[in-house]
Order: sequence, then C-alpha cells, then structure tokens
Amino acid sequence: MKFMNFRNYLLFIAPALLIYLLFFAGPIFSGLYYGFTDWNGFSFKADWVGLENFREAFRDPLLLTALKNMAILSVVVIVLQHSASILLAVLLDQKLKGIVWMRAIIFFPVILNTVVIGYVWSYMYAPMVGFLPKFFAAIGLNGLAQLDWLGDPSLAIYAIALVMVWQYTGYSMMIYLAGLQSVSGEIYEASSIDGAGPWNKFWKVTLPLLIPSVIVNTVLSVIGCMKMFEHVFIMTQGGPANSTQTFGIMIYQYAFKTSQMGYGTAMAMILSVMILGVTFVQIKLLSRMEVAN
Amino acid sequence: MTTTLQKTSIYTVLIIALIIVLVPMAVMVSVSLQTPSTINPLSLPKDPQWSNYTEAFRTGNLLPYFGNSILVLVMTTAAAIGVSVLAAYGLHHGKRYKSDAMSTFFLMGLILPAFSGTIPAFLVLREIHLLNTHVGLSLIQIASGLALPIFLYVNFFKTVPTEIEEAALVDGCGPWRTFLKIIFPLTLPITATCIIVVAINSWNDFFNPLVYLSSPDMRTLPVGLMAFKSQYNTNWPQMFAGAALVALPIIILYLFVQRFIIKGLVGGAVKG
Repeated sequence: MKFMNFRNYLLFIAPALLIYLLFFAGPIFSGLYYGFTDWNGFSFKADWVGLENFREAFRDPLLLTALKNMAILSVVVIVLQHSASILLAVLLDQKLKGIVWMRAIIFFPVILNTVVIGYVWSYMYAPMVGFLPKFFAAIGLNGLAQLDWLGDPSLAIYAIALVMVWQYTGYSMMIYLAGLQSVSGEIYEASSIDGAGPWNKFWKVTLPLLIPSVIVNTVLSVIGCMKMFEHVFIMTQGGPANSTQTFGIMIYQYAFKTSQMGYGTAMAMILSVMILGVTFVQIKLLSRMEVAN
Repeated sequence: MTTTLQKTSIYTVLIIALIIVLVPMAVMVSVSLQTPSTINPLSLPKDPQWSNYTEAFRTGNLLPYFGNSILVLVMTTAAAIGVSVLAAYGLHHGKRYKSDAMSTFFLMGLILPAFSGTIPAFLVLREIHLLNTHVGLSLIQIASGLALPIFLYVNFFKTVPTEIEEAALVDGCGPWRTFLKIIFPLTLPITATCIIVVAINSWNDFFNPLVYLSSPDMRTLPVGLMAFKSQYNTNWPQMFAGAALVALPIIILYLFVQRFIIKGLVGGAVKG
C-alpha cells in the first residue's frame, strides 16, 4: 500500500523534527563539541582544549559533592518513596470507599509548581518559626525541634530528599498501581487455594510480578535525582557551604554566573552520559526479564 | 476475605498518608490568611486576612505574570499538540523508513536533561533574535516536551484498526485527508490528555523562563513568584498568598480532570 510515501512521511514528521533538532537534541549534541573547548559562550571563538575540561572536572571538589548528593538523593528516594508507594499501591488496589479520591489526593503534589513547593517546605523547615520545629516542640520532641533542616550542611540534602519523597510518592504509586492491575486475578485465586495468607501473597506473588514495574519506576526516580535542579535552586541554591550542589546547579552556575560555558557543557556531557548509562542498564535488565518469562 | 481488623489498619495507613500529603498544603492556606506578627502554623487563622491576597496580587505584580504565563501556555500547547500528532502519525505509518529509530530519537527527550543543551540553545535563540521573547520560550518548551505526546499518540495509533485507513484509501483519500477527516477526530480523548499534560508542564515550567527570559516584565508566574522571596524576606503570609494564587488554577483544573492528568503523566512510564 502506497498510503504513506517517503515525501509524505517526511512532511508529517518535519515540523516536530525541526523544532526538536533546533531547540533540544541539536543543542545537547553540539555540547559534545563545546565540551572540548574553552568557549565562554559569548564570542564565536572557541579553542579546542582536548580533554582539559574533563580532566579539570574530575579534580573539581564540587563534582564529587554533586555525585555524593546524587547518590544520597537516589538512596533516600528509592528506600522511602518506593517502599511507601508499593505499600500504598497494594492498599489502594482494593475495593474501598473513596478510593478514587484517595489516589487523586496522594498524586496531587506531583502537579504542583516547584516554586510553590519550595516556598511551602522552606517554611515547614524554617528554624524556630516553621511548622516542623513548632510541631516537634508542641509534642515534646525538643531534639527534633532544634534542627535547622535546610541550614545545616550535613542535613540539608536529606531535607531536600524528603521533599522529593513527599512530592513524588503519588507518582510512583500510580505506576505500581498500573503494574498491579495488569496482574491477573487468577494467580491470586490460585495462591489463596494453596493457602497463602496476605503476607505470603505479597512476598511470593505480588512483589515478584511487580519487579518490571520496580525497575522502570526506580530508574525513573534515579534519573529524576540525577537531573535535580529546581527544588535545590529554590530552597538552598546549592548551599549551605555547597552542601546541596547538584549537576544541574553547577551547570547553571558555570554557564550563567562565571561564563565558563565550555567547562559547564563538559559537566553536562558527563551527566548525560551517566543518564544514558542508567537507561541502558534498565533496558538490559527489562529485556533479560522478558526472555526469562 | 478482609477482616474488620485488616480494614481498620488499611484505613489507618491511608489516613496517615493523606495527612502527610495534605498538611503542607493546609499550612500554606492557613498561614496565607494570618498576619506576619502572629503566625501560628499549628492553628487555623482566627481572623482571616483576605487582604493578603489582594496585596500579594498587587505588590507581587502578578497580573502581568499571569498574562505572560497564559500566552506562553497557549502557544506552547497548541503548537506542541499540532506537531506531535502529525509526527506520531508519520512515525506510525513510516515503518519502512526506519521510523522506529526515529521514534527512539524523539523518546530520548524523556530522559535527557534539558539543561545539558541549555547553553547552545541559548545561543541558537540569540542568533535568531528570539532570546527574551515568549515565542522563543515556547519553542524551547515545545522541543523539550514533545516526547510524551508523541509517545502517547503512537501508542494510540497502534489501536486504530488499519481497515479504517484502507477504506479511506479505496475511497480516494490521501494520507493528509485521511488524517484530518478521519484519524484526528478519533484522537480527541488522547488529545485531551496531551493538552492537559503539556499545559501543566508549561504552566509549571521554572527552569526555561529563568534562563531564556531576562527582562522582568517578560517573566512568567513561577519566576515572578521567585521575586517574592527577596522582596518579602520574612513576610510568609504574603508569600503564601502569592503561592496559593499560582497554584489555584492547577488545583481547580485537577479537581475536574484528574483522571486525564494522571493518565497522561503516568502514561509515559507504563508500557502501553
């Protein structure tokens, strides 16, 4: 069938491809070149400096902090957000009154503006006057009431991780719910007949069947943590004492504060390569599971 | 069979989860109605100060920011939906032109961080004189948000029976007329989802307007709201009144179409 010839095919995809190439993919790929130059972003002169930017990047203490924060965010998010969201998905997969609204409310923070979230949580954490210090003082937990969540360099990144958990638990819950709903009821009936209780059913039936959702979902979270920018920018700007630096914040600062565009782009490339690596591992894991099935 | 004890514990866990989600929002609304000198986050406002809202709207200069945000949202949404539904239709029918590889190329937009290309994109906009314009910002938003609608549309087209297109072909319709007259009307439910998701992403976008719009009067709401922080250093009630005003349109939208929103935002992550 000559329904779609090559000319028409090109015409259909051209507008999207053009915009995508010019304003998203093209810039990212041209970064591949600029990462090897000493470009300042304003002149057209960009001298090739070879691997110099990358050599410098791996000696940059900020890169180490960003890597460490990426790891902290990912671990906190995977452990807290994903255990909470699997639990909530299992609970909300049943027939209960008001279930649609409960799901909707738990999902709601996902669509809130990050500036709004950043403001609200800055206040939740604010020493002395904020909600958490006052709340902990009111219930007699004076130790917790004294904490300066966002102002203490050893705490701030964890405080930000908790905000992410608060915001995105509903998102991963919905993905797990979709995964649960694709599991056929017959498997549960069979396991009931074999005498499995709810606890056994969860560990022996539900969780193994959910593993593909767990892989997709945790990898999405890890990529989200790697791309972290807005929450940090609004709540701490990378401080105190650079303790909440992320790749996003560094790239922004090198590009727009100190005009080290070549260097900033090299950092961006390091990040993109890491993200592609994580995605590649995800695809490998998932396809291996499909073969195993 | 679920026992009463099990039911009670299920509800207890769910209620705790709902409280954790809702308390920060309730604190925001409650504090937005209090006075700076007598804030108490643990209690409801005794004498609601509605003037905080009018005051925030006026001094925060929110009216022009609302206008800018709506303008960008409309341009971005209309164009993004238009180009992605066309592209998805081409990709769906272009299998013999290696469209699978092309789809993968588009889908990379879902995972690559936009700020990896920020610096070169900044220069592209500067070269074509669209830096610091709403059209320029729109183009960036469209490009970085194309992947999801394309993905959703391609998955949708897979469910459309080929007989429909073959019948149209027999009747003498080319691909363009078939697409416009027959296929596009079929996509309306998924188009609704895509519109909402693209619109929310545009409304909430903080990074792109921060980078590509430099003059204050061009700003969109989220970046405009950022200015509150320095302006009202410790005036939490007014900051929160401003924040609530920015969140309000999304909250209202969410109340009515939450199913579409969830479907659209989760759709990219779940295999269709």
